[in-house]
Amino acid sequence: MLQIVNARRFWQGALFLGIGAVALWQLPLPIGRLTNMGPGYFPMLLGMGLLILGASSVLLSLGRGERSHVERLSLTPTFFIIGGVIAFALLIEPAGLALALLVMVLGTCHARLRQHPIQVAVIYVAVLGLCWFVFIYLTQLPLKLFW
Amino acid sequence: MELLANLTMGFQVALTPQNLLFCLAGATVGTAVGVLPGIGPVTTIAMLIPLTFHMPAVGSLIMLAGIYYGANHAGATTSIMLNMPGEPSAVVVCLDGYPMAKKGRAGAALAMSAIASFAAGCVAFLIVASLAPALSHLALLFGPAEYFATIVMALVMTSILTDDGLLTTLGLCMIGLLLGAIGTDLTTGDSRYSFGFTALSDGIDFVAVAVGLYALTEIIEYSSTDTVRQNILFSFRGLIPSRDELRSSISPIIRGTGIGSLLGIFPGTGPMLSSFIAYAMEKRIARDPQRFGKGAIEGVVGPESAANAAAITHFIPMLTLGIPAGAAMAIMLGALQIQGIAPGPTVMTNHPALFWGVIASMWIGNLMLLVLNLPLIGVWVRLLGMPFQVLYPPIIAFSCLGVYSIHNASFDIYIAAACGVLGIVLRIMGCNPAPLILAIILEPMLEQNFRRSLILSNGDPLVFLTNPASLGILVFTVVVLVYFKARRRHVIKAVEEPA
Repeated sequence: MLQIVNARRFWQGALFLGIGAVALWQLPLPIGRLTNMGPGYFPMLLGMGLLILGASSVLLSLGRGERSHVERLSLTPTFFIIGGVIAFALLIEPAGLALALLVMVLGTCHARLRQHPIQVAVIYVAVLGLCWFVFIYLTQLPLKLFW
Repeated sequence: MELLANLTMGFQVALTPQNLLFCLAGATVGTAVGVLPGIGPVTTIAMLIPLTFHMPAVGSLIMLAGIYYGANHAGATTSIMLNMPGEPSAVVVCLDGYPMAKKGRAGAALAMSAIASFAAGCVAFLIVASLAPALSHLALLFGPAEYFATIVMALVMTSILTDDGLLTTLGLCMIGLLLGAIGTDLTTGDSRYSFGFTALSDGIDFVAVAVGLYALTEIIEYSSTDTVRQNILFSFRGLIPSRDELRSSISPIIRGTGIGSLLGIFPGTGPMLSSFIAYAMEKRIARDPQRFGKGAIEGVVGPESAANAAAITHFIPMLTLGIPAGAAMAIMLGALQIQGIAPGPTVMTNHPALFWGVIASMWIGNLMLLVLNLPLIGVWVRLLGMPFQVLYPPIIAFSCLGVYSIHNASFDIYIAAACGVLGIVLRIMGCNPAPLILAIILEPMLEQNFRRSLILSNGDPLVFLTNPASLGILVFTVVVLVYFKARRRHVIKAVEEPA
C-alpha cells in the first residue's frame, strides 16, 4: 500500500499547497493580461506555481517502504520565546520598556536557562540598561521607561 | 590608472576617522558574535541593522560589511577551540583545527587561520576592485529580460547552498515572492494581500522577517538542544607557527584563495561550499592524505582562506547588479535601499564615494581583523568560556526593539514573531530559509522586470528564451546547478570519509 515515505517532503508539500491556496483565494483583482498586467497577475502565477510544486512534493513523498520522520524539536522553548516576544509587543507601548522587558526576559530565561533568580535579575538589569541607553538615550525612540 | 585613482578616493573615504571607527566597530562586533556558536552572521546583521538607519550611508554599509566578514572569520576560532563551528562556513575547520588544538598547537592553528584569512582577503579585495567596475558597465546594458533571468539565477542557485532539492528551493522562493508582493503594487497602486490590516499596505518589512527567520529561530533552536557548558581544555602559549607549518601552508592558501574568489562571485555557492571544496581538494592532492582529520595544517588554512575570499567576492553581484548572492547580502541590499540608494549598476556612477569607500574598507577591515585576531585572541577564547546562553535574552531584546524602531510600531514585532514560528516550521522540515529572504527582497525587481519584458515583447512569454543574453544566463544557471548538485554530494563524501 502507498504511504508517506518521506515525511519532510510531505509536510513541505502541504505547506506549499496551503500557502498557494490562500494566495489564490485572496487574489488581488484585476488580473489583467500579459501585455497589461494587473496587481493580481504575478501573485496568480505564484499561487498556481505553489499548487503545482506542493502537489508534486506530496506525490513524491508517497511510496512503499520505511517511513522517515521529521526532526523532533522540543516545543517548550518555541512557546516561551515566541510568547515572550508577543508579550513584549503587547506591553511596550502601554506599559513601558521596563515591564515589557521583564516579561520577555522571564520568558526567554525560562525557556532555556532555569537559572538562579539572582542571575535572572542581573541579566534583566543589564538588558534594561543596555536597551535604555541604545534605544531611548541614543536613538531617542518615543518610548516610556515606566508606565 | 583609473582603478588607482578610484581606490585612492575609496581609501580617502574609508580612512576618515568616523568611517574607521564604524569599520572597527563592525569588525569587533562581528568577531564577538562570530565566536558564539549558533549565532550566525545573518542574525547579527539583522539584529543591528535598525541602528544603522541613523548613520550615513557609507558608514552603515562599512559597518555591516565589517560585521559580515568579522563573523565569517571568527567562526574558525570556535571550531579550533571547541570543535563546534561558530559559523556554517567553519564546519570543515573543525576537522583538522580541533585535532591540532588537542596536540597543543591551538595557538599555531589560530594564528595560521588568521594569516590565511588575511592573505585571501587581500587577493579577494583586488578582485572586487578590478572586476566590479567592469561588471557594472556590463550590467548597464541589461534590459528587463536579462535582469529577469539574472534574478531567477540568483534565486534558483540558492539551492546549491542547501541540502534541499530543487522543488523545496523553488517552493520557498515562491513563498518569499508572495510575502514580498504584500503591500502596494508599484505599478497600479492597488493594495495586495493586506487582509484588512492597514500596516500591511506598506508591505512586510524585511528586517522583521530576517529577525524572525534567523535571530529568533536560531535562539529557539539552540535552546531546544541540550548543550553542556563547554570547557576550554587547552592553553595556548605559542601563537607562532613553526617553520614547517608556515611552509606547508603557502600553497593551500593560494589554492583556497583561488577557489573561494571564483565561487564567491556566483549566487548560492559562497563561503560554505568554497570551504568544503577547498578541504576536499587539499585532501585529494596531499602526498599523505592519512594526516587529514588528525591535525593537518593544510586542512585549516585551505578552507579558511577559501571561506574568507568567498565572503569578500560575495559582494560583487550585490554591489554591481543589485542582486544579492546570499541571505546576508540580501539584508545588506535592504540596508542600501533604506538609505535611499537604488541598488544596481548605477550605484558605481551615482555614488562613487560609497562604492569605492566600501570596497576600500574591506581591505582595512581585514587588516583590523588580523590585529583583532592575533594579539587579542585570548579575549575571544575567554568569551567562549562563559555560558553564552546568558546572551540570548539581550539578543532577543535588541532584535525586538530594533524591529520596533523601524516604524515605531508593535505590528512589526508580531511579524517577526510569526516569522519565528515559520522559521521553526521550516527548521523542523529541514529547509534552509535563505531562498525565502532573497525572494522577499528581490520581488519588486523581479515583478517589474517581468512586466516590462512582456510589454516590450507584446505579450510573448517566450521572450526569455528568444533573447540571447537571457537564454545564455538561464542555460548557465541550469549547467552550474546540475554540476554543483552532482559535485556537492561527492565533495561532502570526500570530506567526511576517513582517508
